[in-house]
Amino acid sequence: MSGLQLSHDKLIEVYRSMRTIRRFEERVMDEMATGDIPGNTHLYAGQEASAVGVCLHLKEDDYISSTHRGHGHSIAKGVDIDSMMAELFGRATGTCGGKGGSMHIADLRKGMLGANGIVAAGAPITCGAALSAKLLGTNQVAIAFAGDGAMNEGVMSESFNLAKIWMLPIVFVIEDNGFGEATANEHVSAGSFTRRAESYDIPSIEVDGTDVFQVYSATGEAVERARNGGGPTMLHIHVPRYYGHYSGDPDNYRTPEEKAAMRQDRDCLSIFRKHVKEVSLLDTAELDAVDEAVEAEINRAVAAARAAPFPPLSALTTDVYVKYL
Amino acid sequence: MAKKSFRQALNDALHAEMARDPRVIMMGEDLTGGAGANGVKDAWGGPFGVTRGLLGAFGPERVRDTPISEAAFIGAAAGAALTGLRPIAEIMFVDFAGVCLDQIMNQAAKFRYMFGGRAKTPLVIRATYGAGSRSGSQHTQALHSLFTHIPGLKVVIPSNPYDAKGLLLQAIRDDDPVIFLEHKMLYDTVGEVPDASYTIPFGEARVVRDGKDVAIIAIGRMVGVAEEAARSLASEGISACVLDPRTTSPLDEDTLLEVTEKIGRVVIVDEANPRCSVATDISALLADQCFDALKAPIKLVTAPHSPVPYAPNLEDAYIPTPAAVMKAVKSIVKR
Amino acid sequence: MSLIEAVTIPKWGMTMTEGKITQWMISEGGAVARGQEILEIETTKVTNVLEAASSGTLRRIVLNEGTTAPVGALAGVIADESATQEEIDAFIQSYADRLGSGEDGEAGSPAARSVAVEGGSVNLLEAGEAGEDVVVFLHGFGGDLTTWLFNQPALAETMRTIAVDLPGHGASSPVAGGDILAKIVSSVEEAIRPLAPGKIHLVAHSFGGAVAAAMAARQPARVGSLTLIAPIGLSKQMNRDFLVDFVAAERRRPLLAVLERLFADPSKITNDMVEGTLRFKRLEGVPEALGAIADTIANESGQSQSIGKTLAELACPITLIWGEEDQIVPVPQDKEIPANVEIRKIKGVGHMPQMEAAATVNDAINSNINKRH
Repeated sequence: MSGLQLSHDKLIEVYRSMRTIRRFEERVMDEMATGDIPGNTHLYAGQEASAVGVCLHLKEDDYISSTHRGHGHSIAKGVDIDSMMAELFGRATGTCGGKGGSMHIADLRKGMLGANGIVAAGAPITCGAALSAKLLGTNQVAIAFAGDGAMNEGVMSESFNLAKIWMLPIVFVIEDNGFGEATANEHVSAGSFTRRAESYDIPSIEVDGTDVFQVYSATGEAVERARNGGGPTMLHIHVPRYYGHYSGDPDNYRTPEEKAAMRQDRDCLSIFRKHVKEVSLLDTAELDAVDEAVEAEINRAVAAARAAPFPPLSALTTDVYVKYL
Repeated sequence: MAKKSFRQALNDALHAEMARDPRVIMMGEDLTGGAGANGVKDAWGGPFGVTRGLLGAFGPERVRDTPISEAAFIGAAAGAALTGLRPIAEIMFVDFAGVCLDQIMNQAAKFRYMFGGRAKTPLVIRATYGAGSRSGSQHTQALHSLFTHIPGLKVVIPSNPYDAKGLLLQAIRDDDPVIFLEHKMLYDTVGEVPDASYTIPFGEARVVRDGKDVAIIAIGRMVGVAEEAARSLASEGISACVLDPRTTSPLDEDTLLEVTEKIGRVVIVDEANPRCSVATDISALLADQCFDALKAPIKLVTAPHSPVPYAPNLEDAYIPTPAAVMKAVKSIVKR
Repeated sequence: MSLIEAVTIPKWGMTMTEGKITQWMISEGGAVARGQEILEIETTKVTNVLEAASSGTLRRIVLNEGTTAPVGALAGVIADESATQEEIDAFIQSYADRLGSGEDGEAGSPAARSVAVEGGSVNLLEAGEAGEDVVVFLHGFGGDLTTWLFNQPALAETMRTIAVDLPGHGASSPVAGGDILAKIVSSVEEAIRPLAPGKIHLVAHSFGGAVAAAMAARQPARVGSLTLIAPIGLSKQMNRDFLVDFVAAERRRPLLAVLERLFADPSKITNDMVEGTLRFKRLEGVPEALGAIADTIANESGQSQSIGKTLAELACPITLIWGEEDQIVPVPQDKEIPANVEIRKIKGVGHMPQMEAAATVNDAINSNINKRH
């Protein structure tokens, strides 16, 4: 699938978005070693083409929900990276005022309904957002990102059923990186994801998640179906997960060889570069300039985060309710 | 003023608010009954008849009979609340909350806080609760303690038709997630209920009956039990004040403390199991803040630490009775 | 034959069916003077004190403290020294028989009802034998017909009475918009005309006084007398905070604090009174209506209504009754009271004399009604 249908500026945007995610995640890994990012994070590096290819079809007011591995979706949807970095640093300037952290980054102004620390929990919530869109007649669509591990949560199947029976404008994007935490997907999943979706009469599409153009094409079909009242679609997007499950995971259940091969052969950034060069859409210099610009932005985000204040102690008990008494 | 049943009072509130605000929608199992079938529509009007007529008035887009998928539709209700609707979702029996507890506890309750105040979740979850219908352990629990424990949730437990309507209207207009608990044995009770709409603020206890010898704090169906005990106690010369907190979260601490300061003797009646309950919660609050005013230990009249049994004689023994309340009162009034 | 007087459970409020004796203020055998407070009784609506109707000795306490008994039940016996034990016993026995016959039973208890008027309905309570003249009771701001708990039954003994819930109050439908006083007056007139086509004697409290004055101004020939209890509109001064705070109070404790300002003795306020007021204030449209009425009554510079001129031009007997400790609408100065208007001031009483000094007020109302000019 070629990128011919995308404009020059769009192509730059695609690359920039993927590159931002890659560098953001790599930088987060580095910063964790300094101790300034507390707790744990779940890094999206390797999966960039999925988030970016999907979100390319979305307007600012379309909805997405994410998983515990949410940085990529957030960036692709347009959530500000300065706020994201500050959130990871636990600062008051974060997307959630420092009160959510990595797994709960959200920005409802950008339709980002939140990363989620509970596997598969975003699926029904996204059905709800899709229901809102349908009842309010806004023509919005909602994307529920989930992983291969989430496919075995009961609520995922419930959500498929509900989405279909209510013909909701929703796309389930299953990012299959082969692992649910430290356990390989083959070890825990019976049947096939495609057949599961199809058992609910939900059309499903297999996608190579290292090729942003494939993702874009498949998503186009799904989003159009949703906007036209055709109900849900499932995209089964195969992606590599570069890091371990979480930032401290030694990831020794994968061999060094397979990890090296993954980074070598399944790098959506180099695949993109190769493709656009082949069809002369963009030249290397332009892409390198993007790399530099992204680097500068991330540096700025980190510096700003590091300098930002922590939330005041009073924030401990604020916003539990809109109004309690 | 018209006399209406608890059930009718709730139905009134739902009709009124669905009419007033087009963003209000309802979902739950068998809210109408007969959906997708060939016979009568709105055949049930809800498992307990509370939602009768709403389908006819507002249509199937706004009044939705769901699959038996609590996790999915409670989660959907939470997501819809985040994105501009004001859903009222029903869990048929509060016992079923186990199936969807994540969406209540980890999702709806926490969105606003986790997202730094940049979200609101105007969701109402209605659920029936309570023993007395011979339905066995999984359809009879009183779980308000669980929900009261979770920051971010509000918990409302009306004890009479007038309060039921006013509190439900308030719940629907409230911008936070509200767990609205309806005791299944109260649906047929009757009281004066205005035709007009009205709201009752949360965190506002009602002094059901004034008295000076002992304060009886009662929750939900137990308010009626306390009133009966108070009447019997009066004929024995003991004047009991009966208080109905109406909402356990927020809790009207001021009124409970004020009355305890004045009277110094307290009995708390709660149908829930006794460990880690609203009864123990209130007891601790009063013991801490009214220690010097207390003239006797705070007595708790609750169910035992057991599931609800099926056999009628056992179920009746499970539920606190006026006699049990009177016994507790007398154990502290002579001191 | 010796004089034996029954001390019975009184009827406070047309819907009262029973009361609980909370305190005897005289012991058995003690001397009693007519008008002396002898018995404290509690009902769901109110706690109040019964005054002795005659002098003598409290010969027997029939119902002890803590007893609840129906209206009309014999609580005690007052007699002079000459009455014998047998006579007292026989008297008590005759009472027991009488009560069994259900003389004062539920059949006689009148119920409030709604009458349709343009734009809504007016709730009212009628009591007393039908007659030429009718006493019409008009309550004050934020109140309802139960204001007349201790007055309507007494007046109903000898006259036909109607107690009205003003529009926007009690169970009457709400009012809104401009010219609210005129709307209220019209609705009340429309409601009572078919029920009281002849002469009416207006007994009005506070804001109700302005309503009564307006009604009298419109139809002076129809109004037989005006008894105004602490009416608005005679002087500039009033406690506007009361109005503002009353409208603003959405919860029990703040509302209780506001209601306490009405009485010289705040212990008169029962839980039911507070709950009843809260329930009324919560109804849709009521806060707005009350706000509009409050604005009609007063603004930052004081009272907005003025009834002095209207009263001065009326020919019927007009009596003002005022508690000297009224914190809401203070007693007007003499120069603010028209020459044709009498005033009776009552010591130790606040803005609700009709409740705090019911017997005195009932006397004053009866006197005023019966004045010939």
